[in-house]
Amino acid sequence: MIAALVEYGLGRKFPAAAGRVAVLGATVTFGIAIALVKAVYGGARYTALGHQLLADTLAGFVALIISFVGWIATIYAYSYLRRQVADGRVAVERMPVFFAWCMVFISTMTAATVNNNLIMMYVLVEATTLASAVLVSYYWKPESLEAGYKYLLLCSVGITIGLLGCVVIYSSAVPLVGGHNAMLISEIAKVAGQLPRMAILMASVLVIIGFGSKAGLVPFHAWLPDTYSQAPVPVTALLSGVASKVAIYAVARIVTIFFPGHSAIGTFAIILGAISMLVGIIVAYQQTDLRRMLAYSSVSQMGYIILAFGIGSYLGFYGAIFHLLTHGISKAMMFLCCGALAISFGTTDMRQLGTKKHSRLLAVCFFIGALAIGGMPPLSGFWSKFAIYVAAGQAHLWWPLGICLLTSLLTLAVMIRAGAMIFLQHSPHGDSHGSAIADAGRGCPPVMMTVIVLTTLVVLVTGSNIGSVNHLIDFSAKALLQQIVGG
Amino acid sequence: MISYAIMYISLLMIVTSLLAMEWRSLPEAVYTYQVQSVLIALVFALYAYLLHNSALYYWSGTALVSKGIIVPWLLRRYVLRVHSKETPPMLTILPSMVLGIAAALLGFAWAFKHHADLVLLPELAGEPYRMNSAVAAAVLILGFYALLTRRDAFKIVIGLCLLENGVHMGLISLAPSIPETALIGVVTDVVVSVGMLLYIVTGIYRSAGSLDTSHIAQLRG
Repeated sequence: MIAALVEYGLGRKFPAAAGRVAVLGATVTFGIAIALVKAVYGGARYTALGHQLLADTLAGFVALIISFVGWIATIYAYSYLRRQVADGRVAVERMPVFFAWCMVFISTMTAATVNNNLIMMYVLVEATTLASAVLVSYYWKPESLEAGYKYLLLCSVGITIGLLGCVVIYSSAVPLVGGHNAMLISEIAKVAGQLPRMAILMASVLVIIGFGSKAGLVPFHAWLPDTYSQAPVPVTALLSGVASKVAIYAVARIVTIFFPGHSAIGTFAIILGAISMLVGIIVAYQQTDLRRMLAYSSVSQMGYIILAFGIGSYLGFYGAIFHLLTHGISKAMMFLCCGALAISFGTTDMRQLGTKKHSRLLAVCFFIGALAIGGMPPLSGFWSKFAIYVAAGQAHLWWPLGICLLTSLLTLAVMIRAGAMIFLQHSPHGDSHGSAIADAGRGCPPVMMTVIVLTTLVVLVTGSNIGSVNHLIDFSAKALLQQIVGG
Repeated sequence: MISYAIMYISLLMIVTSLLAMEWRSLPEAVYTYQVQSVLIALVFALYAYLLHNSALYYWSGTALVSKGIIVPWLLRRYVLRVHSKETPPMLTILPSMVLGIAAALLGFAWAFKHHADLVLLPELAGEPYRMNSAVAAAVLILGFYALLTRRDAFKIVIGLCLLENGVHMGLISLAPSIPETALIGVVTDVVVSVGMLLYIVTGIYRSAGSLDTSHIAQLRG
């Protein structure tokens, strides 16, 4: 937030230097998140402001993912926006506005992860929508404005439904824990089994629908493809990589505490997840624009995460959190690749991109991300999805397991098809139709390429079965289980 | 006496919702919304007096400032920048009114009948909470109805404001003990979201020359 204020203040006088304070702010935030994870590693738990804030391993882990994606997106945006200014797409005076709102966006997301207050969860998730709406409409052309309008309207309505659910939960808990404690998720968890059954069922459905609309779950996903395709690429990386995860995190925090006595809630989440994953990937297959394809793929992958949370077992939580990490970083990286293509060739149409000559490095990074999301071993997506498959099998949820497997195959097909359309149509000596040497484009700035490569390395590392990553996910899953039992 | 006053004012809220939704002149629709918001603030103050709950005076003040002053000011400020006449909706006035009234009555009747099932605390059973939750349901449904049936983007924003009013009213019957700080956070979000939506809607009008959502829908969704 401090970086946002300084960025905006300084940017009005020195617009050409916009982004430097933002990069510094994002770096400091990432550093703080690393320190937080170190503090909560092993299952430690800290509270502040009268338990209004709570940091356990899960909160720290999600905050780490958010701050990492925020960091790389900000560095990427520093170069991306300057190229856009050079191309005349963006006025230099508007750069500080972008970075200031970007910092606000990242700060609201990280605040949501350590929040323990039920009503403030609504406030903060809505705040992420408000901060990002300005960024979605940033180009201020008709399509961007339409996307921003849809995004803000649909998400605001959705989150309001979520607020109703939060208020019902609060009201149910007041007689048992008192007015002040009834606002705190950790205190509600202690009496979750004693709350009125029908009220909790209704409230949980409202929360899943409300916050799920922000996450892009079907059928509340109408805003998502337009928003992801019209927003500047760094913003899309943030939206797809982490903003949707914040909404799912809110659902997980609030609703899972009622799982032990209300299996119907988990079933509802599983059904919603299954529908989202199938519908998302089927529609993704029909897209010719890379950004819209990735957007629908995000809808599908969010289905995996909510389904895994809905299973309600340790392995389900493990798979959900692991997939949250996998998708968060891989999808952000793929959108950054998309931005590099757009910068180089001025289009994200996969058919047109197929006639161009591409950087081999970019192609490798893209395919690694695509295969990771598709669930190809030994990449991280395979391990996270495998955990979800095993969790579904252990819970005897055979039809959701079948849908997961089918969706995984379809995802792999869609991703490989996209990569092949873009990178494998063109031969080294000309395009595939034998005409003159294909356009090699204007090239991608080195800073952007470096960020893409760095993120790809992180994708590879997270899948390489490193002990610390596994332990972090393990402790995060246990933190959620601990919350459920009221610890 | 106070209970009767609350009852009649609550019923007025359904009337103001219908008027705000159907009035084709945008400035008048904004004015009607403002009247509704002031009535909400008044109802909160009356509840505070009736139930000896001083926290509800804060609710009243918050509602008056945010929804009675700031949001209508924003709406009026932006409506001056666009056309003052609403883009005709899908339905003409008469069928729209009939459908709107039917939807509001359905919501009202359902909430009124099932109040005992919905009530979470024994002290929230019976009047005046029963009437309040029924009216809140009606206002909420009218807000949704406006969102779904209006073509004018500005009027859709007013529909969102009506929906938020319905939710705000419903909080009395669901959770009258919510701390003021939480309420201020909620209301701040509402004010900022409305302000941003209006800013974007004005941008749409300037670039597309129209607020007709069926014409500006260039993206496939």
